[in-house]
This record gives sequence, structure tokens and C-alpha cells, in this order.
Amino acid sequence: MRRLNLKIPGINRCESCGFFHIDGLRSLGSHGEKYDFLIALAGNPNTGKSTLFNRLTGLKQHTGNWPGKTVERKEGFFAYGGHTFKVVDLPGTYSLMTTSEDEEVARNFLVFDRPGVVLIVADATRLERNLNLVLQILQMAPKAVLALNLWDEATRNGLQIDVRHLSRLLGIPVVPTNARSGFGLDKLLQTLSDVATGKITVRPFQLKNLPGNLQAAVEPVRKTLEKLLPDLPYKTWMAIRLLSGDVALTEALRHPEKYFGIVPAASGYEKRFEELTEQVRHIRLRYNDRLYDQLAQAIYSLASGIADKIITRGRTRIHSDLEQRIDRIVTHPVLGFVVMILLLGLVLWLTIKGANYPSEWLNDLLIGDLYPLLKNWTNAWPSWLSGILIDGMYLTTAWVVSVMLPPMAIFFPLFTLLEDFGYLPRVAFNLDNIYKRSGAHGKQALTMSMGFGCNAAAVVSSRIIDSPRERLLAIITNNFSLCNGRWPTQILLATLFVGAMVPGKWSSLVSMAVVVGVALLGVFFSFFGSWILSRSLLRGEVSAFYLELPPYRIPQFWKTIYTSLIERTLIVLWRAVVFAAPVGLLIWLLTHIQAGNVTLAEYLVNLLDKPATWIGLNGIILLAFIIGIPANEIIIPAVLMLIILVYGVDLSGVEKGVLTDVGDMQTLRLLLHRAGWTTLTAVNFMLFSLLHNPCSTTIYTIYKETRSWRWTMVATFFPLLTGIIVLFIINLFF
Amino acid sequence: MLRKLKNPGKQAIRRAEDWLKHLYFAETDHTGFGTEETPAGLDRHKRQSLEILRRHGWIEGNDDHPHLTPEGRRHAHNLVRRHRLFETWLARHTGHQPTHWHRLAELKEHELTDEQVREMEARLGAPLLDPHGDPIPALDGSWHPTRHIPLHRASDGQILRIVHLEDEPQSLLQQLLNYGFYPGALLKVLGRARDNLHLAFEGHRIILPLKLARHIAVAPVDTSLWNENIFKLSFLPKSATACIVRLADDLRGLPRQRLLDLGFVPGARVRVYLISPLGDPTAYDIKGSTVALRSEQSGKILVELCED
Repeated sequence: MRRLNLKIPGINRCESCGFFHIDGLRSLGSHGEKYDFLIALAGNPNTGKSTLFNRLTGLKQHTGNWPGKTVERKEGFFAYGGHTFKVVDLPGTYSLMTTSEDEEVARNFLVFDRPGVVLIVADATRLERNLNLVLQILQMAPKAVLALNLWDEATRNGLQIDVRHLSRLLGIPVVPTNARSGFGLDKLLQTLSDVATGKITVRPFQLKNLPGNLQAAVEPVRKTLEKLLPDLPYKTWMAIRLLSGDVALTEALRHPEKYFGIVPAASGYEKRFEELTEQVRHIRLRYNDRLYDQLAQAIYSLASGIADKIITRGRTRIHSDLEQRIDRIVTHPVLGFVVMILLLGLVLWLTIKGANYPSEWLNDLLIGDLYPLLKNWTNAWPSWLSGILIDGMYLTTAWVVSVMLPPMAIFFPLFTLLEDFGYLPRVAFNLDNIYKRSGAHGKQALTMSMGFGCNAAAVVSSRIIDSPRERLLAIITNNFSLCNGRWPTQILLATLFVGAMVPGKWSSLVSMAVVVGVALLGVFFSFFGSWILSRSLLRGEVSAFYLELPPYRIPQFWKTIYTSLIERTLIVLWRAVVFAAPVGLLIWLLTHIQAGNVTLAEYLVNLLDKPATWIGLNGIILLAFIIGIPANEIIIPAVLMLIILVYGVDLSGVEKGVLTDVGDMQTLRLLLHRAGWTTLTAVNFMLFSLLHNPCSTTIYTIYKETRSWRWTMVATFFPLLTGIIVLFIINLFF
Repeated sequence: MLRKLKNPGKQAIRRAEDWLKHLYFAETDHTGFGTEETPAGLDRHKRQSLEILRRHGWIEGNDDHPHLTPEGRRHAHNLVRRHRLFETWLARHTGHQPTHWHRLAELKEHELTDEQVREMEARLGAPLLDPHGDPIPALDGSWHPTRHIPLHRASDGQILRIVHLEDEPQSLLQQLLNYGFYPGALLKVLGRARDNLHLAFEGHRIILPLKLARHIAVAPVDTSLWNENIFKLSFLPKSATACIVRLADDLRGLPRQRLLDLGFVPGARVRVYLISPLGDPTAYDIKGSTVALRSEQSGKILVELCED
């Protein structure tokens, strides 16, 4: 499994810092019109290609779409050694032979735009798989350089790669790199520049002796091309592409002077070209579309042959004794599940328990100390301005930060440690059969557990699921995992209403059991939802399961903590803050703008009261859930605020229209009873808190991840509708 | 739903086009299986449908003996082309069940524009056969006839490649799929007894009723293609090592690509490393990494035993 690689707005590696500085490199961002050389950046997904791109061009790149495509196109400029380079980042693909949009874009760029140098980025830890793409690129690149990225990880895994031998076999320079740390980049740039200027000559490996059948099919077409267009480059590859039914290439070859700047050798080209297409069609018919497979297999076995020659494994066996022993325990029919429950339970317990203290400190600092200070400081301002800025925006944001940050800062590093150790894929392996039954991927177990921390982060982590249908399932049903913003609500209400119904010594136990029950109900709904969705809305999506079990590795403790804080915690927090501040403003406006002779909030409460009773709630609760869209943490404080506002309860020290945190249980219970809450209301509230729309941070993240409004809407309304239906049914019976 | 109610004309045209296809197949046999029976429900609207076709100038003659005009034939083959291209699209680029392809294409063929069809064809790499093994007509109406015989006529000991599975009705296709058959699969006729055919197929012996065998079209292939020792990776026992012979042809699109990307290529060596405590998936050692696959997928990887 791959560590998530997130791009964080505003938090980027400093390019001018000494550590990352490369002599002579000047990133030009998106500036530059003239350039000396055009560089295409190609490689498999997840090889660190984007990191390298960012390192070369700096932070500002031009992003847009490829003409007529939905595929993102990134380009940027840099200067090195007195020359300027334009870099175009091709979509990450595993091959260039299939008909997916990504591969089409990459293939056509290489063939028609003819970049001066192709910089290929390969994952050194998965070199054999990556070589497949490398070999294909070499068939249509006049000049290429190969960067063996993630070199440190490969070395750590005990892989030894004979770089010089590889370079000889491929006919291009090969440079080990580590785009993250900057290792090898100076050498890479020097090589790239030398290849571009012609100081280093390259002779990329060309396919020659294809296996029998394939050779018999390709050779006649190649010979015809040779006769028709002697100057055409890469005739073998072009012949292969024609035989694969490449419509774009067929069209381009029909007009060679326009697309390749080549004038046909003899007159009557059009007629002779038609003969060629007839020949191609004839051969294709003879081989019944089977050529593509043979070609793919030929290239894969070639890659495998090269890999065997240049890679020596540090270990003779794939699995060490220790690894086998650990695997035997963690995938044991009984012990495996015991270990799993203990470990995940421990992580959750540490998170919930451990987060209390820093949450309190933050609360004391941001709300206890800083808030009055700010209030004081803005005393002279008009009251509406300080109301909007301090009571509205600041207070809400401070609230969200103090309740959200600590649990995430504990949960994510712990989770990442387990992930880096290699344990989490084993959990997916153990549970996959259960998930399979509901149409989902075993790795959904991981995104689901991650959802107990934060749904938004879990949605991001669903990238580990490579199969489109299962990934959407994981994203859409993730909200059924009770997130950290909702646990406190559940605990509070269970204690106040359910716990209070049993004798004192049992009350904490019972209320805890109720909360766990709610969480399990969420797990049930995520299975049930997956089952329904995979058989209805999602049945047309492609499904391609696989699950890689990486070797166990001692996690790099501090590095893990650092990256998970930066890459998981801060990004989520950042998005939450972005949404919290405007809602703070909204709350302030709701409670201060008059609609007739009541405030807007009261007006809305009255309006929502009727529909709310159909599902066993009330207007205040519904409005609180709407106010709480940016963060579930706000919902309880919003309820209290609204009760105080609507019922005019006078609590000393509490200002009207300000989010309220009442610590005293007794007061709380009185307040809620005063607002007409029954135990049923509380239960309904708990259920609705489990089953409603995701928070805005999550919704936004879902859009970012799926790039589709359709799926974002499904993910938003599916849980909400589930909640409404469940509550409606309950309300019918009670 | 609403659209259908508002616009009965569309529904009628759809039925008329279905009639046109039916007439087309009656005179141009693509599969060598003879004419299909008039699909249920089509007969009810015969008069109206034929009237519409006549108005378009697609057919001539009276209701009992209608025949296609050249224009009608062109439109019919266009419909067939759309249908089969769309089925290929469904097979390669979506996750829809094989049994649903026909039904979905049956609806879509009336809606696709020529532009969409051209684009789809380009994206698919101008395929020649649809996923059931039927030829896809080219724009000019030409198509590639496949030479084949129905399976029940094959002689004993023959090595055969399945070239076509009958896709109508859906229940028949489902029955054939339950045996694991797919176009492209190799099988050997071992013999026959009474109403059954005995077959060797991917490491299994299969007893197939002759009445089902009729719906499978096969073509004899060279005996050198037959590998007696082949079996599915899902049957590999724990301590043995296998070498991959090929991936089944009905593994298409992304799922096929992924397996190739992971190193499941012909010649690669595979070993079982772990079996999930719940029985499935199984983790295999392949090319230096460990990859777990579900039984449906490992069932599509054909292997033979090889030395450790």
C-alpha cells in the first residue's frame, strides 16, 4: 500500500531553502514564452512524478485540461545551464497501449508534439512493472532520460539495481533520484540538459525481434510504411499502432506533411495509403483482435527479462522468517481478529482519551484567554463589526480548531504508523470476504476505520482503493463511520438521557454501550449502503480488485509523525477553518437580523418545526444541523445557543447568539427538558447525527477526489435520505 | 418514464427499428445460426411498425412478405453496428454484468448518434468482434464472417475455440456463462454419451447437454494450442509453484490491464503465500511482491505447474 501523497494548499516544500536547493536551477513557474527545449514528463501513477515536476518548475504551474479532454494538463518552465526548458506533465499511466483517455493523451503528445527529451520517472521499488511503460515510451521517443525515483526506499527494501547495466540495455541515461528529499536531482538536471543539447548521445532501445506471430503481422505493415514514407520515425511502433486500430494515427498518416512534416516518397500517396489500410484491416481480421494481447505480453516479458538481469534482491526469499511468523499470527482465524480488535480499539481509545487534555488547553487558550482579550481590544469598534468578526467568525473557528485538531493529531499519526508498518493491508486481507459480499473492497475496512477519526481524511485515503467502483463505494458510504466530531455528541446524549435511566453505578457503562451500538449501527449501514449502491447506481462502474501485501517495515517514527501531521491533519484542519469562519458569520447574522419581530434564527426554527416533527426532531435541532454543516462539532453548541435564544432561558454569563458550551450536566439536562426533549428526541438526535449529510469539508473533499458533481451529490444525499427514512419509520411506531 | 409517456412516437420508432433488424437478420445471417424467432412482444405492434418502416422507405412489399430496401438495409446494419460497438464498450469500459450487455445495448442503439459511435469506435481501437463473438460491421457495411460450426456437430478429439455464445435470451446466456464459457476459450471434445457432450475445459471435465451445445459456435484450431496441463490459478495448492500460461479472454479492460501491470503475465511464476482466514482472497507471491486476488480473478488466470 502506498503512503498518501497529498498536496496541501499553502504548505509546500520551500524551494529556496538550502536543503532543497539545486545549483543552477531556476524555476520559472508558468512564466516563459520562449524555450529552448520541450520536455515531457512521463511515468506510472504514484512514482513521485508530480513532486519532481514541482521541484523543477517551482510552485506556480499552469494547469488546465488537454484540449477536448477531461484529463488535467500541467506545464511549467525552468532554466538550467543557460537554457530554458518547458515541461509538460503527461498523465500518469501504466501503459500507452490501451484506449483510456489518459493513455491516449500521453501517446498522442509523444507522437505528434515530439518533445525534445522525455523524462521518464520510474518507481525503483517496482521497477519491473514500471519498465513496461519505459519500453513503450522508448519506441516513440528520440531522446529520453530515466529517473529511478524512490531510490532510498528501494535500498531500504534490500533491492540492488545495476544502474549502469540498465542504462546500457535501455540505451538512455539512468539517474537514481529521490524527488522528495532532492537526492540526485542535480545530476538528473545535468544529464537532462546534456541529452537535450546533444552532449550525451542516446540510442533508445527499439523493439526488433518480436515473437513469431507478432513479427509475421507487424513486418508487412512496417515494410509498406518504409516504402511509402521512408523518413517516418519509429516505423515498427507505428505499424503496431496501426494494427491496434489507432484511429488518430491512421488519420495523421493520411496527411503526413501536416502531422509529421514528411513529404511522401512517391506520387499517388492517397491511393497507396488506402491500400495500406486495407492491408492492416486484412491482417487484423486474420488475428481476430488478438494482436494487442500478444504485444502486451511481449513487452511485459521483455521488461521482466531486463529486470532479472539488473535487479538483485538483498534477500533470497521474498518473505523473511519473522515476516512469515507475524503473518501467520495476524491472519490467523482466531488470533488475527483478536489482534485486529485490540489494535484498532487501542488506537480509538488513545485518540478519545488522549485528545481531552490538549482540547481543553486549546479551549482555554483560544476561548478562555484570547477571546476576552480580542473582545476587549475591539471595544471601540461598532458592535456589529466586532460581533461578526469576533463572536461570529473567530469564536466558531476557535471552537472547531480546539475540538478537531487534537483528536486528529493523535489519530492520524497512530494510524499512519500501523499503515507504514504494513499491518493495515493485512486487516483488509482478513476482512475482504465480508466486504466482497456487499460489493466493496477489503481496503474499505481501512477507510472506514479512518472515518472514525475524520470522514474527510478517510475520503482522501480512499485513494488506496485502485478500483473505480469500490473506491466510490468507500467514499459514498464513509459518512456512516461515526467521526470524531460526532462521538462527543453521542457520548453526551447517551449519558444525559439513556445513562440517566439506569442506576448510577451502571450509567456510564450503559451509555458507553449505547454509543458503541450507534457506531456499530453505522458499520451496518455502511455495509448495507455498499450492498445497495453496488447493485444499483454503481453497477456500471468498472471493478478491478487487487490488494498488495507489502513487506513489514519498521516505521520511521518521527518522519511518520511529521508527514501525517502535515499531510493529513493540517489539510483537514485547513479546510475546516475555511468553512468554519463563514459559518461563524452566518450564525451571527441569523441571530442578529430581525425578520418581523423575531430574529431570523427564530423565524427559521418555526419554519422548520413542522417538517422536523415528521422525523421526531424539532425545528431547533434541524436548524442546528444546518448550521453545523461545516463541522459536526458545532451542532450541540448551536442547539444550546438556539434553545437559549428561543426559550429565553437566562443563564448568567452567556451571551445571546453566541455558541454555548455548558459544562454542567445538571444545567444541561434542565435546559433540554425545558426545550421539550424526551428520551426519544435524544435517541432520534443520536441517529440523525449518525445518518445525515457529510460536513462541508467532507463534501468538498469528495468533490476534489471524484471530480464529479454527480457522485458528490450522491455522497451527500444518500446518508441524509437514509437518516430521514430511518427516523420517519421510527416515528411511525412511537 | 415521463418522456416515454409524453412521446409515444419514440417508443413506436424503437419498435419499428427492432422490426427492421429482425427483417435484416432474416435475410443477412451474421452468425450462421439461422433466423431468430420473432422476439416476444414485437408481433403485437407489427402493423404499426411496418407502416413506420414503409413511411421511411426502409421496406417494400405487403405485411406478409416485407423486404428491405437498400436504404433500409443500410439503416439496419447501422443499428447492428451501434449495438455491437456499444456492447464492446460495456464489456471493456464498464462494470455491467455480461447478461445485461444485450439489454442495455438494445436500448442504446436507438439513441446513439453517428458522431458518438465514431468516437466510441476510435476509443475502442476499432474492434472487429463484439464480446459475444459477433462481427461488428464497418461503416461501409462490410463485416468479417467467421467460419464456425455449432459445438454439438464437432467431432471427438477436436480442439476448438469458442467464437460465439448466443446472447438471447438472457437466461440462456446465463446458463452458458455458468459453465465458464467465453468467446476465445479453448476446449476439447472428449466424447459424447446420449444427450450430453463431454468436454475438457481449463482443467475441468464438463458434461454439457447437447441442447446447450447448439448455442455455442466453435472453430477448430491447431492442436499445438492445446495444453493438457492447464488449470485455473484459483486451484493452485499451497506449496506448489505455477507458471502463468495466459489470461482468459473474457478478462477485459481495466481488470485485465491491472493484472498485467501487477506482473501476472505469461511465463511469470506464482506461489500461494497466504489464504485469508475467511477463505478468500488468496495472497500470491509474484515477481518479488505479494498480491492478493479474489477467486473470481484468479479463476481467470490459466496456469500450469512448473518447477520450483
